[in-house]
Formats: sequence, structure tokens, C-alpha cells
Amino acid sequence: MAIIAFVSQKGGVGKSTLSRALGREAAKSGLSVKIADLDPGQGTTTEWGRIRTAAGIEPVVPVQLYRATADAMVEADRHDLFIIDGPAKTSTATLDIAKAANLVVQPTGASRDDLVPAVREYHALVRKGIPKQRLRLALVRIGTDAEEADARAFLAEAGYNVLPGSLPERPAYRMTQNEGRAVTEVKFATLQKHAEALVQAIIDETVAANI
Amino acid sequence: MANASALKGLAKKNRMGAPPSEEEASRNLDEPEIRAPVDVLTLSAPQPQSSEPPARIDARSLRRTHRTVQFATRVSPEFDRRIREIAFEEGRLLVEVMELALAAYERERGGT
Repeated sequence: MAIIAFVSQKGGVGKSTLSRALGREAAKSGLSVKIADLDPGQGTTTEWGRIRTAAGIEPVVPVQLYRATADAMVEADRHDLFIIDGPAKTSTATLDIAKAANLVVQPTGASRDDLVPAVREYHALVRKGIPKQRLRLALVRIGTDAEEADARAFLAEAGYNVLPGSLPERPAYRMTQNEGRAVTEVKFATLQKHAEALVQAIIDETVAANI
Repeated sequence: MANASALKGLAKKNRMGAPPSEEEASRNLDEPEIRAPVDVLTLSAPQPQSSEPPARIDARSLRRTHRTVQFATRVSPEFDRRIREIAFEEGRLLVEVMELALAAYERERGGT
């Protein structure tokens, strides 16, 4: 059993995008997987799951909406992989999630406006006793290689591990998700490769962080 | 002559500036979790699909869950302003405020 959590203080950074992609790849591999949608105010991943089911897209990716973190956590060990799609707000519950998770991933854009709050959130988790080796940042909505390099340098200086790979900023990813598909199911080969590489990195680093 | 061009990049500062120090850690982890109202899950729960096939099968009809129905009416500007204020103040959807108002009305008049 593994728990992988996507957290952030911000909305729209890519928590749901990566949760769905990881859920899809795990289901495709035959794992018993569930995505816990912990943002009942919006329920975007739940809605995505509904669209996917209605469209008959395989594999089925189970998604469940929970009122609160504690309600979700009691179910975590019933699955090979329990994915937490956190709310767009960190709180005491984020610490509970981080304590239970095998890997915590915080997606972030490459602007300083995105990176500074991301680092501050991880500083807070480390201060509360979460080991750095279980924390990762994922770069999403990347415009250019230079932008990605700057962001990587900034995060390395801050002392945090950044997942290899990134998601470029492309409308095709949004359109794919609008149809109930994951970004790893985008029809453009290059974009699919980017998404698959990032999801594979999440899987590999979860294994590496827990050996 | 030695090629020293590789050293050029070393002096270059990160264009982003310095990251925040550990003393600048967020304080959000001390904030309580905002729990959703009980009725949110009810509103979001999948409902049985209608057995009637849609008149036309398209993306919209495939997405339709029959969880909600269209409800449109005209209201006074004062009603519109007030209900939006309440929804904003309490972090609720307009429909949630209307549902609570209906429940209060029914209690008040001794209904269900």
C-alpha cells in the first residue's frame, strides 16, 4: 500500500492534473487505486471522474469526494495506491497527510510568485518534522527550458528535491482533461511523453524514498 | 590557450533571487482544516441515470447526471444583493442558501 499526496496552498497549480494522471497510470497497470478528492468546495476531480465514467473511458479511475482528511485516511490501506488530491489550502490536515504519505508532491509553476509560497509551505512541513526526502516539487505549466532551469536552480538552493521532467503549458492538456481523460492520454505524442515521464518520476521516487 | 569559457556561467546569479529562509516558513499548518458542509457530499453523490435515452447523444447529454435541474426566475435587485452577500459571507453556493431558506420556511410554517 502506498499513499501519494498532492498538496499546495494555491489552486490551479496542477494537483488534480497529476492526481488524475497518476491514478490513470496506476489503474492501467492493474493496481487497486483510488483518488481521494479533498476539495469538496470544488470537487473538480470528482466531476472529472464522472465525465470519464459517462464517456466510458477505460480504465476506470475511482474517485471519491471526502468532507475532511480524516474521513479519507481511514480508507487508505484498502488500496494498492491511495492518491490524495488536496484542497487549495494548507492547514493542520496537510501535516496529517504528509505524516501518512509515502511521498508528498507539491506542483508549482515557474514564476517566483509560485515558487516562494511553495518553498515556505515545505519549510513549514520540515519544521513540523516531515523529512525532506519525502517531499518533492513538480514543475508544471512551464513555458521554456530557461524558465525551467531557473526554477530548478531556485528550488535546489532552497534545499528541496524537484522531480525530473515537467509539464509544458499547453491547451491540449486542458482539452484532454475536459473530456475526462488524463494528461497521459493526450493525443499528441510529445506531450504524452512529457506527462508519462513526470508520472513515472513520481512512482520511481516514491519507491526510492521508502526503501 | 586554455578555454575558460565554461567558468563564465559560474558567476551568474540565479535570476529568481534568493529563496525564502526557513524562518519564513508558512504558518498555514497551524490553521484548522475547513470541513465541508454535510450536504456537499449529498449534492455531489452520483445519482441514478434516467432510463430514458436522451433525445440527442452528444458531449452534453453524456455528461448529464440528472443530479440537478435548471431553475431560473427573476428576483428583485435587493434579493439578489442580499442572497449573494449571505453566500459570500458563509462560503456557500447560492443554491445552498436557497435550500436552507426553504428548509427554514417549511419549519416556520410547520411543514416537513
